[in-house]
Amino acid sequence: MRSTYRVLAFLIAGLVVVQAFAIAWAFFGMTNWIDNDGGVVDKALLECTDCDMNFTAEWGFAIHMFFNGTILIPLVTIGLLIVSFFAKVPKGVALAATIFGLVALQILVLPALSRSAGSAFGGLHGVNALVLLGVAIMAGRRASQPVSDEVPASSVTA
Amino acid sequence: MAVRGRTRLWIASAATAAIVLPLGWFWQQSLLPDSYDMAAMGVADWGGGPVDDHAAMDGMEGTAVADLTADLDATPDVSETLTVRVEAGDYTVNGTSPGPLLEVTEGDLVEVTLVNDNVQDGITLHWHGIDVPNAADGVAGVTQDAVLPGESFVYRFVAEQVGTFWYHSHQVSHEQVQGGLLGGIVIHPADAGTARADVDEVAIVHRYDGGSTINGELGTSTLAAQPGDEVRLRVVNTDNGLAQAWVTGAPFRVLAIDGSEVNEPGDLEGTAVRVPAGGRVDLGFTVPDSDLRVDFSAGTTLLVGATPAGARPERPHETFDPLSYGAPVADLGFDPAQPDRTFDYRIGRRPGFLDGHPGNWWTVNGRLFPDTPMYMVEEGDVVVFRIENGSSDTHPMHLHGHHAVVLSRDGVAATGSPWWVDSLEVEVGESYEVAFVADNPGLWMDHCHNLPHAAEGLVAHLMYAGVTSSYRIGGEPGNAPE
Repeated sequence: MRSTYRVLAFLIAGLVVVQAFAIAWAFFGMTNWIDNDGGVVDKALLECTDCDMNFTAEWGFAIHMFFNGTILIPLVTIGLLIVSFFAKVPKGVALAATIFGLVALQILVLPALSRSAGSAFGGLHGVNALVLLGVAIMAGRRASQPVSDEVPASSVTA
Repeated sequence: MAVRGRTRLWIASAATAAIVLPLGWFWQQSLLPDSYDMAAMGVADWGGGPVDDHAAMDGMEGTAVADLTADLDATPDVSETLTVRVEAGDYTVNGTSPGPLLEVTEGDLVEVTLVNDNVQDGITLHWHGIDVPNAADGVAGVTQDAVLPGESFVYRFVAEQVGTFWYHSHQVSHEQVQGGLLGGIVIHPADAGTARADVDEVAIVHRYDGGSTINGELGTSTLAAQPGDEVRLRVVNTDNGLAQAWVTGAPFRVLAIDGSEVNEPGDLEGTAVRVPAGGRVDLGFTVPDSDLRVDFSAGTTLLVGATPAGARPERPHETFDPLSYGAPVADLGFDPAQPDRTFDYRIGRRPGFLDGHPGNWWTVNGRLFPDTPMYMVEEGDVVVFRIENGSSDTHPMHLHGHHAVVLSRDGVAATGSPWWVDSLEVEVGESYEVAFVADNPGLWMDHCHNLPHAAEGLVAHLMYAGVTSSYRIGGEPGNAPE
């Protein structure tokens, strides 16, 4: 369980990096499409869910906003939280719960606020990603420490 | 140690169950049956008015939706056959998309026979903006069964309203409409004394797989007109998102919105006009001696009467606001100040399950489909809707079978010409009060015309007391209106 915890925690960190890659790829691809190919982005395009892709980097949006961002990361996050109950990782449950909270903030709260309150909350979405990355790495490293400190010496002598 | 370990395991298992069991419960509860009666779903809301016998919901006696038709014996004034084909996701009506433009005269009894050549999912035709009898409304599983390959269906209605409308499928509509199963319909005034514009043209704005078009033409289109001609340009937005248009080269007027004429429209210049998804705006202008062009947010352009010239003008910073445009009229035809029923249509969003699918779904009054409201009215009621968008996206709200007049937006009363709508863009954080008379009995959808949003549950219904349903969602024809 401990190694599962470690793998899932580092996996979340890795998936956050994938998110950063995907969204940057997508936006660079989109500006290239506008600049070089005369592409036009309007509301109708954003809402055209069944339209063919206009440029390859559109995969970046699909990865960021669908496959990775709203399916894979939430699933792994719930998986980590459940595993944390069984894996005897110091502060493991607290770290997994923190990751869960940061993911909820990232996927639900900040995007909603960026639309209703102000785009700056979208900027916090970027900052929160770095916090999430840090906490996921911290959780992975906790689970990588040797198991020996788990059983206090006093209980052995008792 | 052994006991401590076992206790720990128990706590861990209990914590796991505390996460998994509610998820499983919500998942299970969200599953929809293979087929269901739309009238039996939802939360009945009587809007503070008298509660009727609840006929539809208890399956008691009443008028069946299928019997709410136009005169079946009369000879139609206009007869059309529209045959739909699909190839690789591209839909055509009589071989083209947009389909043929239907032009009829006020008072005509219109009869359209829809033929499904090869669309496996089935098709229907909804007459967007025309307040047809309920049985001709074209919503699969609500007002008819989907028309399967080789089958046909006859729509009949009297064209009572003058204006710009369109038709489109209301079966798997989020795919079929985007794929091109649509066309325009214009109802001209019967009064011969009403002068028609010198140039009267429909501009259907639609994004196909290949890109954005006007009447199916990519990029720049041309409209033949002479200097001095009066032009009426009927802009129809058949996309899922807001379209915007701006006129450069001459002042213009907004002659009609959603098929209703604006009273005393004034000249406009340097302002962009927004056309909600599903909505229509008729623009009027006189062709000048120099160039005139209409540019659209989709990147398309309509050049009027002249050769292409110059760079594409930027969208003006100003946005046309119908709330204070034109002149009010003395009599609306009813008094919205004393409504019989007042309903809330609060749009939100929350995580949950929709028919077993996890996601961040739309809510109406806090609840997910199918627990969205069933707004109950009686014929003759004056009805007020308070529409509020508390979600993080804009929603072009479309009520079937009725036209509502906007009373206020964000608490600011409308002061211009009566602003009648069937497709109203409700932006993030905005609230509208609209009113209408319940004068068209039936079971009517009241949904978001960003059609993928409707498929994601942003759907409610308006139901008349004493009406019973005739069709089911799902079932043998695979009725799936969204």
